[in-house]
Amino acid sequence: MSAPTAPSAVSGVTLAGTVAASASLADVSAAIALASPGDTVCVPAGTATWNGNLDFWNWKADLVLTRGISLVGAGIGLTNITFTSAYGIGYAPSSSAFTNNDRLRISGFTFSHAANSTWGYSSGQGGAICLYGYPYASTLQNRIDHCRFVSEAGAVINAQGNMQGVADNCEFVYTSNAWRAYLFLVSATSGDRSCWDSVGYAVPGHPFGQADQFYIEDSTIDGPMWCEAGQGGRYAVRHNLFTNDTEFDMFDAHGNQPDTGNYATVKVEIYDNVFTGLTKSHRLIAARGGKSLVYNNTLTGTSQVDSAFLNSYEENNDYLSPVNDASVSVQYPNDCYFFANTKNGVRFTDVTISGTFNYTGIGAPQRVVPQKDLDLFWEQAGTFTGASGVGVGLIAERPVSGLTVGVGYWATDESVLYRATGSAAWEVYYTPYTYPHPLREG
Amino acid sequence: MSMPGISWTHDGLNVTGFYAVTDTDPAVLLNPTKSGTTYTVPIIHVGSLSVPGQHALIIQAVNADGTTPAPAATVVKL
Repeated sequence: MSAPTAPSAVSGVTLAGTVAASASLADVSAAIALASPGDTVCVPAGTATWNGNLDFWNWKADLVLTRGISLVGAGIGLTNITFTSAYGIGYAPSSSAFTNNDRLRISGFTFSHAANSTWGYSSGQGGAICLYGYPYASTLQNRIDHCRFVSEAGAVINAQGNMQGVADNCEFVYTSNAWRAYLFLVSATSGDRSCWDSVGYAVPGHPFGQADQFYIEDSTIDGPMWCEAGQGGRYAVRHNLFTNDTEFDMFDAHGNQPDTGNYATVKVEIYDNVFTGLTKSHRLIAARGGKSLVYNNTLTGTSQVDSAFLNSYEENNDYLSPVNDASVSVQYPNDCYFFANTKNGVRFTDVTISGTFNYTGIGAPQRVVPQKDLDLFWEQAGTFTGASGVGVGLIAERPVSGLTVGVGYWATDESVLYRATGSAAWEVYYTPYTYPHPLREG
Repeated sequence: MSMPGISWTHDGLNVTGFYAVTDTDPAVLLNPTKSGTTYTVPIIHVGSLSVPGQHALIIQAVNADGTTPAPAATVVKL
């Protein structure tokens, strides 16, 4: 019998990732300094006020990140951070982060913001987390999850430029009506049209159901909220629970602003959300620019219900618009589909068009915009014939003839939106993007 | 997107398991993931290693014969 053979020696023992000594900004910053892209920095339970006041483009932030890491707290209510600068966490990915398509994750915190009158909606800046991908270093893999945001006066999540990703399993809690609190805003810098004209990142025409936007899903929003996009912004809000009152415009798709040179929203998608406890007068959406897709939202409460629940209008001449650029969409409200939304169990079957602009003799499309069944399509009362609006039902019940080009049909058994391309022809126009968002995997 | 982890290399010969000894903690049998000759385990599975501070860590390769060299690595963490 031979003698036992010992295993060889273990070697190369290394620690990947860092653990901050505490939740203080100094300790977290020190841990981040030791981290490499892709690493996880764990922040232990604790309470801290961050006073970073670091330069972050034209603003200030308590913590500035330039590469993709995972910043993970001990959990909601366990790692509690109070911000004091205009932005709490600013992420401005470096060129290396862009080249390597870094992944950023912020998870497991409660964030609040110390009162500060110098920032907020009126000053156009400030917020909890700013993903600043403008103009050259956008990243596509950004995830913010399992965080609670309390009393944020600015933009809770401000995704600027082509910053894509998802916020999921977050809690947005507001205790003040002092501000219209952005849930988030997705935009480029004022006056710049890169998000419209530099669309190499996007599918031409900006179809719905793509990854090229910022998603918020499976989160709770309690209190006043206003979710806005503009200046090339794109967002999708789905599978969330909204409780108590929101702001008048729950969702805004901002139009163009010739006076400032700003461009319109590219597209928004709002679907499969539940809104409860509404008591004020609201508009579910102000579709002022770009594409809007609003469906399967359930609203309950005592708020005024009128035709303004779904509202669309054109307020400016698109003379600065890339309207003639075939690679992009048009800025005025277009390709808007509203259907299967209910308030206290009653379907919305009307949309208010509260403002129009006549492009006749000015430019494309040489007519008044927006118009029903040309730019805007919504569910009609009564039986859907295919002549107008959007139908909702089983695919087998979809009309086969007498269609108006552009009308939609939501096949409930397929979760597919079809669009008429001829008097007797349909095309698949939209299928929801992968749910849950792929960034939630792994 | 995983938690911080401890990695080490081993040729995998004559070994039936790995133990970790952190500071003065009792030895903990590890269940690492293996990729080639690299083994990885989240720090939350390594005794008190997830507690902020400085720790001494020993990874031991063992087999059923009970013979084991014991190289050590001191991991300094914030």
